[in-house]
Amino acid sequence: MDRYHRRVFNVALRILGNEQDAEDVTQAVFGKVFDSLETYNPRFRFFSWIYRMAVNESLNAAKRRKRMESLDDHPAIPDTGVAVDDAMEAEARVEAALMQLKPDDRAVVVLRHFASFSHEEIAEVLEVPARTVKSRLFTACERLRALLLPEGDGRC
Amino acid sequence: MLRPEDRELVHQEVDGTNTAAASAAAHALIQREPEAAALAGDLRRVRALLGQVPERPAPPGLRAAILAALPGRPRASPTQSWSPVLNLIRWSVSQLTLAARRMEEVAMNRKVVVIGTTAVAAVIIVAGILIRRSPTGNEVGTIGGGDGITGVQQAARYRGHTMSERDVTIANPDIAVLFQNHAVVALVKSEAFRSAMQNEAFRTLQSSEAFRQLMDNEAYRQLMNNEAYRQLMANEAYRQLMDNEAYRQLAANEAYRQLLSNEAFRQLMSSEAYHELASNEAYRQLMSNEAYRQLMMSEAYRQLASNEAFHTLQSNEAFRTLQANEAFRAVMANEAFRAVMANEAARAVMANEAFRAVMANEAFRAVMANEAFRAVMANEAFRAVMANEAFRTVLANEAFRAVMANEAFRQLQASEAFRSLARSASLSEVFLNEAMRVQQ
Repeated sequence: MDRYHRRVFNVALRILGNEQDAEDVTQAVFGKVFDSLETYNPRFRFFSWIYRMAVNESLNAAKRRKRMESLDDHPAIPDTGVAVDDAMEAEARVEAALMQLKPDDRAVVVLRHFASFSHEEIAEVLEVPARTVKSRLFTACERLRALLLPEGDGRC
Repeated sequence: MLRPEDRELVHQEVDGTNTAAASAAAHALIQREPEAAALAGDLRRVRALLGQVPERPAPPGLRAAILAALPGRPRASPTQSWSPVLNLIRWSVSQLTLAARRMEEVAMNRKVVVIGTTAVAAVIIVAGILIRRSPTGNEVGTIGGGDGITGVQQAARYRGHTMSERDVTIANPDIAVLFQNHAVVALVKSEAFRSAMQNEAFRTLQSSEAFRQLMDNEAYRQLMNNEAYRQLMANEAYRQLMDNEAYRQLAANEAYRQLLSNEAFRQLMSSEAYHELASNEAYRQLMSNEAYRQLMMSEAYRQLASNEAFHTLQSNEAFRTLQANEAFRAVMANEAFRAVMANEAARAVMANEAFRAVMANEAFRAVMANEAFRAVMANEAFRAVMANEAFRTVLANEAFRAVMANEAFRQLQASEAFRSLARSASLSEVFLNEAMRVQQ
């Protein structure tokens, strides 16, 4: 648990954008891990099993939350118009941009950039083909580009 | 207007997932098409922004909250009716296993070990027979799914890990094949192997899930067969580096791995001038210089002439020497390098004595240029093992290093039979038991 609880928390945090929800999801994930240990199939890698639970729990939590709030509640992306050199400001901007991605695309970005998984590892975690991972990553990066880089700030 | 396939090529280039041929095509496209160059620049800036987002520490009460929630939860195993029997068997197995290990460590008396191992094997076989009598699948249902959806659902068929006689005796063909190999027999009879096996940290490591995943990893096996890596493993400075918390944080950093895969950075790392500079006191001061770091993080870095921090640095002799280096200039223009420099762990590592000693090491440079090493660095299991206390203890163990540098051990690791052992905790245990028996 010591090896994974911080990572699970961070994955949930980046998918949900909310620390309290991420804590709830992390607890739920470890509850499920505990409940399901006896059905864990060692043919599959443990990390992909636990990350799969983390992503699925987070996406389910995001769906539940979406029913309760409108998209308008998402924070606007702070647009300073200048290069971001402050980590907190960068985090706030990235978080707000991530929240505007489709949940499935967001999960791929989180696993790629925050959990540092390869495309193949992401495919294993999400149980989708690697080409789907590539396609979602492509879509997400194009969208992030539009969201994070203001017009005139080097964009074509 | 870029074609969709061209955009995809640029995306993959920035993501570092292009093949060598595709990467060359992407470079040509970026050189030729201003739109492609702009796209590549934008994507690198997006990555740099993502790279600036730090990993958050888990909230202070989270671990305790998880643990507090666990004991009260009923375990949703369909074999609950068997639980008392299974628990008793598991307890017996664990006690006997512990006793056998204790006997091995303390007495190393062949007779006692054989009796102990036989007793463990007998209990495991009985357990295996009992465990295999799992429910047929249709008789168990649960109310409420694990995902919180209400309603009656059929429980998943129980697929518990079943041990059999095949798993626990030398009759296992995988193990038998290994012990028919003279090199393997010589290895397990060797003093170094015996010492390594008796090492508590090694046994802890062996039982860790991350280590087993790592052993099953193709890139890691390639790396193990790499001469430079073996030299590096025997290197004292490398061990110090591995023991360094800042380096481990750095190794887990996406930007650092991007940097490692950057051709210009590798050229820089292998350049003599850079090594001289890395061990140069003035350079170390430069690296810890706030103005220099700000400059490297600055978007305006390319417009150096108007930058105040740059003027300050111009008076620094070491910086002027570096500027004359072609590879250094290429690295400075690299987004990944600047992202790494913006990372606190990277800066801590740069100022670390062990890191600088390793940088001057030929084997380390060879390993840094090695494709398998970079693949391993990106591997989750490797990072988990790197962060594992037992692994670091084992690395500092003379006998373990001798075993790792042993040709027969590398052959053993590369063999299909050994890989199948690595995937199974029970088979690993049997292999070690058999190795102990052969040693007597």
